[in-house]
Amino acid sequence: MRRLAVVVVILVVIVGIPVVDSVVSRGAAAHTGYQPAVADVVASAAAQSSQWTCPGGTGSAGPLPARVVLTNWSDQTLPATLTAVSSTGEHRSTTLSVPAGGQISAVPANLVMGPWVGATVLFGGGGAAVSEVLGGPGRWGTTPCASSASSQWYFAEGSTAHGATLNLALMDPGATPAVVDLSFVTPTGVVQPSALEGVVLAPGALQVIDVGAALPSDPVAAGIVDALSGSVVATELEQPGPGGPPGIGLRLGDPEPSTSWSFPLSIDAAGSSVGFHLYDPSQTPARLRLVAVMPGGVKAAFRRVVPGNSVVSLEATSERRLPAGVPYSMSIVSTNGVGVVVERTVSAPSPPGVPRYGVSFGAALGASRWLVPAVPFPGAGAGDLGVENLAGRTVRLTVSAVSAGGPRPLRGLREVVLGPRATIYIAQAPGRPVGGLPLELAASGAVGVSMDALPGALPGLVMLPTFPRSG
Amino acid sequence: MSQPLDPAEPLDPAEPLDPAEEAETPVPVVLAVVVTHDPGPWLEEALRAIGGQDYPQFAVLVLDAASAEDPSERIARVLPNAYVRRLEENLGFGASANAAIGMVEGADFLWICHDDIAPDPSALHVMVEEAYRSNAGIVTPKMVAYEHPEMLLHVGMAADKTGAVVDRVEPGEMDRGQHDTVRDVFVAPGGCMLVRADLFGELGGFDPKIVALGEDLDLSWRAQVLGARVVVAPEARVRHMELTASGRREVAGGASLQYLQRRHELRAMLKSYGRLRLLRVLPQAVLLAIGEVLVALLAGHGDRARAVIGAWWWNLVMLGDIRAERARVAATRHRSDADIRHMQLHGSARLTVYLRRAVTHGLHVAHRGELSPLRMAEPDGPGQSKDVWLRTTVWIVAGLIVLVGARQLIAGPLPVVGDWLPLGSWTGLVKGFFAGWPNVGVGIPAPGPPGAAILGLLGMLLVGGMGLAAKVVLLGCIPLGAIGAARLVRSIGSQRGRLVAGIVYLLVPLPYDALATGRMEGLIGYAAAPWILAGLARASGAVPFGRLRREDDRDAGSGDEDEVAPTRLAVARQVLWLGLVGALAGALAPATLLMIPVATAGLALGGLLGGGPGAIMSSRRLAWVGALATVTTVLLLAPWSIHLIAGQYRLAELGTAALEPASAPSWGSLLHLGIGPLGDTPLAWGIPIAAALAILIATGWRFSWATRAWTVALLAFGIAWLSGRGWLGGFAASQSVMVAIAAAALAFSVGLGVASFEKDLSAYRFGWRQAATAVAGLFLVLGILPSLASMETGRFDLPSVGYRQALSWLDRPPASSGRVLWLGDPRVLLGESWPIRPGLAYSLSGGGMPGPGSLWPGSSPGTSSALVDDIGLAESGSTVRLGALMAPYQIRYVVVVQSAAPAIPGLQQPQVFASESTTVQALRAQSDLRELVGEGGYVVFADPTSPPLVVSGASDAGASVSTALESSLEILAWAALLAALLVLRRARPDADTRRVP
Repeated sequence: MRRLAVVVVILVVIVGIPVVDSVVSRGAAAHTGYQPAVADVVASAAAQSSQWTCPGGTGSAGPLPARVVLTNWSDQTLPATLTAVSSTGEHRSTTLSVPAGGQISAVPANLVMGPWVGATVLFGGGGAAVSEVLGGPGRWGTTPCASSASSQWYFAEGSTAHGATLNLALMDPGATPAVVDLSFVTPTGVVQPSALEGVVLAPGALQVIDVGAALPSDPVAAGIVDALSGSVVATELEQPGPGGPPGIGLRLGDPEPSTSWSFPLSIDAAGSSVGFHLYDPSQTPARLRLVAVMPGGVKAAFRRVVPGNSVVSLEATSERRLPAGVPYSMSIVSTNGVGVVVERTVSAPSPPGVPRYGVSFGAALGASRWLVPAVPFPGAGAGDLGVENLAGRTVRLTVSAVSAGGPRPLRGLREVVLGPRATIYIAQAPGRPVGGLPLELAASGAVGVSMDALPGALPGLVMLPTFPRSG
Repeated sequence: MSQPLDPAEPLDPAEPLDPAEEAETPVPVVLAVVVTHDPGPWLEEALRAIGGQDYPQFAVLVLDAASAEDPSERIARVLPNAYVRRLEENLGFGASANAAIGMVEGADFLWICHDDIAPDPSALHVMVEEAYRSNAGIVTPKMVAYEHPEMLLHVGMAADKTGAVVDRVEPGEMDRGQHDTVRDVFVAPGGCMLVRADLFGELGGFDPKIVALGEDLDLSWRAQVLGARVVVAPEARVRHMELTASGRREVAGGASLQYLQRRHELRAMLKSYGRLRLLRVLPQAVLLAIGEVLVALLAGHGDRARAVIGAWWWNLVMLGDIRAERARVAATRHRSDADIRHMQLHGSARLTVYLRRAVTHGLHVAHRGELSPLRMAEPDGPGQSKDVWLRTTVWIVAGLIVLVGARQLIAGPLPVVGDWLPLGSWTGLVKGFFAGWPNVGVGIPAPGPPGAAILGLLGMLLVGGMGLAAKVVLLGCIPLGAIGAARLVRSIGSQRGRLVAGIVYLLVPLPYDALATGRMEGLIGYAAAPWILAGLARASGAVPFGRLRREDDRDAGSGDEDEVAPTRLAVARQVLWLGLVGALAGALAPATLLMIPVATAGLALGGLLGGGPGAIMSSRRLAWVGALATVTTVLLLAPWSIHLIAGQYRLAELGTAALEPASAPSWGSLLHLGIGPLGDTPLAWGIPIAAALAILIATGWRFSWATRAWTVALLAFGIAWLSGRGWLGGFAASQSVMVAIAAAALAFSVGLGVASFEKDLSAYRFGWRQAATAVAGLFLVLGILPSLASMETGRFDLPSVGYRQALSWLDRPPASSGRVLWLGDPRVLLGESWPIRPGLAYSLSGGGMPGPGSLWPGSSPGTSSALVDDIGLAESGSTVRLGALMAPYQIRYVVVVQSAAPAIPGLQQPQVFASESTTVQALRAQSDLRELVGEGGYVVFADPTSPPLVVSGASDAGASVSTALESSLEILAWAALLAALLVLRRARPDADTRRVP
């Protein structure tokens, strides 16, 4: 009997422990640590420092000088050091102070001279973000700056056809020299111009690549920036040719393909063109399911297969299942797990003085907290704020305006219930200074956010940057 | 020959004797000089044999060294023509024999003899003939045992460079003519030698300061310095009782033979070498003596240690006299020391004989070990032969494994991987022990780690060869563990079981995994675990460990004898012994400090579970002994251990930095001892499966101990598993130390299984048990295959390129002017580390690669603990200026170590621990850290703005003195414990146990 007891005890221990282990360990994730897959994450307010990199725009003498917009969502005034960098290697720094809940802007080109001027902004804390604005009324674009550098950047769209110009601005914000290869996906396949191999960027340096010089007259030029050593920040500036619509396509690259993308607000209109450009940078074909959700829950689904290293476009305005004038949210999911990069181009017959061409990324990852800066042009209105529920379950959403007195929920936007895959569109209204003040969105689950900067214009022409917030 | 002297008539020195006066034929005249003192009944026979020589021209002179009774009448009855001279004082054989100088004229040869010899009738003339034939100054005969003339004693003797005399024949060797060749020898044994009279006179005879044992070495050596030959004439046979050398006759002054031999050998060496040669040989002799003293102390042979120390002290006191003797020898030198060296043995004869005896007869015989001319005890009986065979087999297998499996490691340098750090100099280590390590953490003082003293001492013994010292420690753990395992199962009554247990433990993958991954705690734990289990088992007093030992009681039976329990004396001895083992292991690897408590808990619980007579009492006894032994260990290592235990980071130091649960060994890996690259194979399941046999078929005390063994194993596995999951709070026990305890327990169980196979299986009907036995045997064979296969590479898969080669530039300026922060999984970091989070740890090195100080980083990282927060900020994205945050610590480089060794395609691909990749990304996001080009397995970041490291020139004198005092007290504590062990070992063995009523 004792032998039996001993054997039983030993067996219980030997067999029981792995059972306990599997039960308890289920759901416990390994340490994830640092996850800079998204390039424009706002550090938590408790952070000691955060840095943003803006590859910028032309110099002060050029047609598109950049203006950096510093937005502070925290409850403390933040010191910031702005370092302007020219493509000729000149650096100069200045100290700024961003008030709590406030937003300021500065023009790096006023500090240094050069054909192209970018900037880095170092905050003495977290809870703040930087975006850059190029151009002015009638022809302007804005994009978030990057909160972290990456060794890869992807662009799903670009064109040098019909006289369009396409510039890639590369900046090395760190202390490590970077060596970069640039390649492009064209109708004839992947092209790696020899002149764009082994591009060296010294620490803190800025270089602007004229893609058209290497790939003239190419209608599709999805691009890859691949840093062989070090890491960089890359933005793309696209300007339609002389016959094209006025506007610029300015966007920060995407550091990592994703298996899901979200565009909370799109509208097709007569005479307009809305295209979703699906780029698969891997060797494996990506099987994508695109679902457009319209008011009333009406859905239109599309399937596309994107071969490896190629771009497939969905012209939304050509799809009869997407009626003109009806707003819809578009979500793109890779059903076979292959990550893609998705950009949207919009060209529209906008009123004069308003950009008629814009390029934007969707939201690659949902987040439960978002920060949206105010429109960079004081007094200008804003379009709709679109929020799409990506959580797969009902979430509760609160939209607050941030000012010196702290966040204040907008009227009627406290604890709004969003059903699964539901989207709400919030326009500016009395008591809802959408676009007029920095906004903070807090949800009980992952949501995607987009904010149009042009009231009354097609969504996507100029998208205000939206920043997921960590912590 | 002249008339015998009238003892009442004093001898007139002015009228020396002249035996040649009556010579009738021109043959060399020989004077037989016989020295006697209080002769026993053998004197007459000796004199008859001496007087019965067939040599025509010799006289006999008997020198009586102040015997209590005048032997003249006895002499006259046998040799009426012998001359007798009574000396006033017994100054020893040599001084007495010297009296013949000047007493006799005209003798060509002196035949100097003891009074307990019996030469063959032809011995003298053979020796004289040989003296002329070989032109020898000294001739020695073949000496055989008095009562057994077929047994050889000496055929001349040899000596090494330190004067250690070695017999040319093996103890008990039979004479079959195998040594019947005339040849030069270094030493003519003093029992009987033929010396040219002129040579003897020129040499001044024997050294009068050498009262016994060694006068032959001294005379022979000086004779050869003078240019004379010393030869052996084996045709001349002499029987010898060796009363003095065997201790049956007390020497003048009553000193021990061992002491006399040592001091006289040393004196001969000091006298006879020239200055240059002495400068070379003397340090070696010092080192050998120190080593011998240490070994003797550890083995509990205080007499031997005292003899060695006394010998050196005596010669030191006699230094003036030695100088004078040296001058005399130098004046007569006709042969260089180089020529003399050719006549001597190479290496250390004493060391060679020690090792040979240890292998063939065991350590207890080796420790008894005199070299010559002592005879060995009677040949071993059948049981002892088996014991010898078993020990020899284990030694051979262990030796083969080390020599074959680690051949590349022996021949080449150890790569810098894990804990295999360059140790620097032995002086630096000893200094570190006394002065503490100022670069620990960021410049905090810490008590000197005892491990540094141990390694430093070893390095000193190896003449500064720290690389060799490291290999001795690391590779020596393997045979040490195997011997411990064989010792653990010594009492189970099965030789086969002992052999199998020893070999199984030799072939568990743990030590080879530890070697391959550079983790010293694994090796030290492996070496110590079976010794600790053995000590605890004996302390428990449970059958069969606690029974009264009888020589004829080899089979411990089934436990139905009366229960006997150890006495307080025996318990005290066990406590001290366990404390010593625990302290030795803990000094080198602090994580092993937990071995005694864990093993104690396992054995105690297992005793209760397994039951058996006296289980509760033995478990209780065990608990006490384990607790006291743990306290003893801590005290021995104090104050370093106190700092560890009381320090803020005691949990990290007594264990290890926590692993990431996802990468920690799984329960299954632990069970089959596969926590490293070599053991992680399904075949390794064979050992635990084989160990289960004892649980299934053992009976009686074998079953009880199998239960205990399995309880220990499962407890150790459980602690390792819980630590890996992070479920022990902030504490993470070392995986390899826990597995070591479990492996020793499983090996014990395997041995018990074999014993059960022999003793218990026959009691069962044929059935599943027999099948289980066959299955267990098969799995056992399979289980040892992975370790055997790992021997193929000759380095147990230890990478051949370590971080020293990849990062050697860190040791050179300007890189060496800043601190280096090392980040990574604690299993791959160099040296020991401090935890940041599970799976990530850090360590600091000041100016280059980590040094020996990183092996024992102390009780606290000091102010560098703030680095944990800084790294956390970087990983959470809360800072982009980590370089600025680290600036106060003057950190110039950050090295993220991702694998145990650099990954070099085509050469080595060590295992990578992935959690560091997030750390690397976080560091890349820092705007003030520059990533340098790195190879596979590591990434280096530099902070170009970091100021150079400035080490404060003003040391804290008070702290240094305090540390030195603490370290000195620690040495005293060790000395006290060793002394206590020696005292306790002298206690009568039958006082070890008392019968329980």
